[in-house]
Amino acid sequence: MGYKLRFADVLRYQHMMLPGLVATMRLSCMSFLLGVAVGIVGGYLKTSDKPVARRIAVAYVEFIRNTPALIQLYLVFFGLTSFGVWLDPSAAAVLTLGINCGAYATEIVRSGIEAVGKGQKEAGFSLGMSRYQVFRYVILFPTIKTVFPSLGNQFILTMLGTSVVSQIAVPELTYAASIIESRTFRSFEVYLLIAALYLALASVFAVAFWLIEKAFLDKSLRLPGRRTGRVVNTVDTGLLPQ
Amino acid sequence: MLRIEGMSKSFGTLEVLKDVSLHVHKGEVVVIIGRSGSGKSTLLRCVNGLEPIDSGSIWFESRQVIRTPRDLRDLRKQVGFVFQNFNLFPHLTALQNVALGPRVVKRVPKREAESRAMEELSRVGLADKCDSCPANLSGGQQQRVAIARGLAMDPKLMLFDEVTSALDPELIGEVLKVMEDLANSGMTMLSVTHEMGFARHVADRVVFMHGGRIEEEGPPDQVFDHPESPNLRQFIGAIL
Amino acid sequence: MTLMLTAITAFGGLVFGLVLGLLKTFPHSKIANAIGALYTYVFRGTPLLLQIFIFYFGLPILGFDTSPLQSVSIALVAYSSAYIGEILRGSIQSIDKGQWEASASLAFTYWQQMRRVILPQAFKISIPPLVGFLVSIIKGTSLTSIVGYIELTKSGTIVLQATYQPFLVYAIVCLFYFALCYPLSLLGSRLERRFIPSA
Repeated sequence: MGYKLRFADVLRYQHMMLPGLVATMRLSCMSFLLGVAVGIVGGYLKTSDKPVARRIAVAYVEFIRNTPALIQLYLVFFGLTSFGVWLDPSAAAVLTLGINCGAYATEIVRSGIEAVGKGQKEAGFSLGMSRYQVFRYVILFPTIKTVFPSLGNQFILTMLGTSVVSQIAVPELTYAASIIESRTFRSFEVYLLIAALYLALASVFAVAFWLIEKAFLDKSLRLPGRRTGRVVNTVDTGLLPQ
Repeated sequence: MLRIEGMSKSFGTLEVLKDVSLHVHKGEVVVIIGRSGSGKSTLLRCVNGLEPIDSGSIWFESRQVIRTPRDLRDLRKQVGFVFQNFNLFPHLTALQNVALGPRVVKRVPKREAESRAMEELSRVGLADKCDSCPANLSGGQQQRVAIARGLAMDPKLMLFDEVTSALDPELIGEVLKVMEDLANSGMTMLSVTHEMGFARHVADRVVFMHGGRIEEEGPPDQVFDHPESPNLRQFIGAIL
Repeated sequence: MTLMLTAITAFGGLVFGLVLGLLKTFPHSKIANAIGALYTYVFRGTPLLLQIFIFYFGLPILGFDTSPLQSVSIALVAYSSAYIGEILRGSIQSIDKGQWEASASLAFTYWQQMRRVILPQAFKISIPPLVGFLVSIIKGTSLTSIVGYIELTKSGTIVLQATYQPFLVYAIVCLFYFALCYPLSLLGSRLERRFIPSA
């Protein structure tokens, strides 16, 4: 091993890493939010009574989950140019990652919905609520409570997944790494350092989610007095054993 | 053969066994009765080392049992254990379940182990089910296989931990019959059970436990017909 | 190419994943557990792309003369073992305690218990999630195109340079991956459903 690790050369470029980190965070958050929104819709569709809705959701989920994210990215960024649509790299990134995250979020939300249990739904219907109302007031809240940890995990996965958008020159962390690498030629140290940064980010978020879950789980025992809360409250207490 | 002296055990702050002493002689069938929580199952599990004891000593055939892995394994080669919920290995057939112990632990060659396994399965009346998996057997059948599995190791002592408690009533009889035959063949047995009929007819000695202690012991007739301790009298009154 | 990479990763990942799973569940050594946990933490907490970069560029620099295939395989195997190890750990820990007790009562040693009683059952339970992970492995191989390794994705980009029809080319590549992965996903769900009744 005649190679000496020289981290100093790399650390000189710290000023490039921070913007990359911020960009990665922004990308992750936007994609994740898009993904959760899509996931809620998808979850709703997948548990719908109408076979058409279910089939659309299933097709979407299966397509996304069985193809690599990189190809999805290429398809959106390069592929759409065949139709004359030229997207800004960041926009393409958020769009692709959002749709990608959405498929997994759909599955997570779906399992959460199914975990709520028929009884709650039936209670809602007996009160004369429509399907949409039942979903919004009875199912949604307990679902999110149940799937929160899985969603947190999905956020971290999405964040790690943002590294592939470096390939279409989105200035995030991995892209910053390759720039630094081309300047210093210290590929090993650069990538090792950047990997450590990702690890740190992931850990921070893991802890953050865990803390939020603790706070959130306790809070949910006292539901807010808003219209939403009150309806759920009534339905819940109606079914709880005395 | 088996001598327990001053055994005590606690789970956290809960004292489950308080200074228990018991002897079991060769060929004896000893049945332990008592309420749930009286410590009877714990006593049994301590004997073959599934639970560590806090104080006291266990002697098997005049040698003290020290709690090292090797010593425990040597003990378990001579002491068989049958569980309340059978714990058969689901990925193996009945025959393989019974043969596994001898094959792996005693290095008996496969053919020999399997023929011995067939013997034991016949002994418990399940020779025809040798190729069935546990999932396809009734509770009573599974428990009999579990007994055969213990017997295949040629133990000197057999421990039975409430082996009929998890069975539907109509399946209990077949298991008790196997145990009775085993007793009549001279096996030394220590059994925890709620089956009073079995205790009365098959046991040589009945031990009554209450609150972690042995309160009374003696021949079945004496214990059941002339109970001395008030707890025992209450227990019998409630059961019979 | 993709298939070969997948196969190598799958086998390598299983072997090392098993080692990892055993490390993490070994009851007599907290150090072993910690090593396993640390490895899993590192390899699951960093992007696969970066791991590929680190191994692909790093190994030659450190003096190992590895071919692209070897470097890339090592990266993928390292990544997979973390996930497979975690799957196996979960399966091992989900085995009913009674199985441990029954085999202990028959005087089995720890390794005899593992080999004869616990692992056979743990593997059976692991098959549905493992099949699911195989899909992830296949998708992961696409990232190796970025370091220039020739597999499905890279072939696509090469074809693209000749035909200038991005949508068509990538759509076809997509369909290829889909054709590989979807049957596996279906198999995985069917297997999963079959295990639930027998649990």
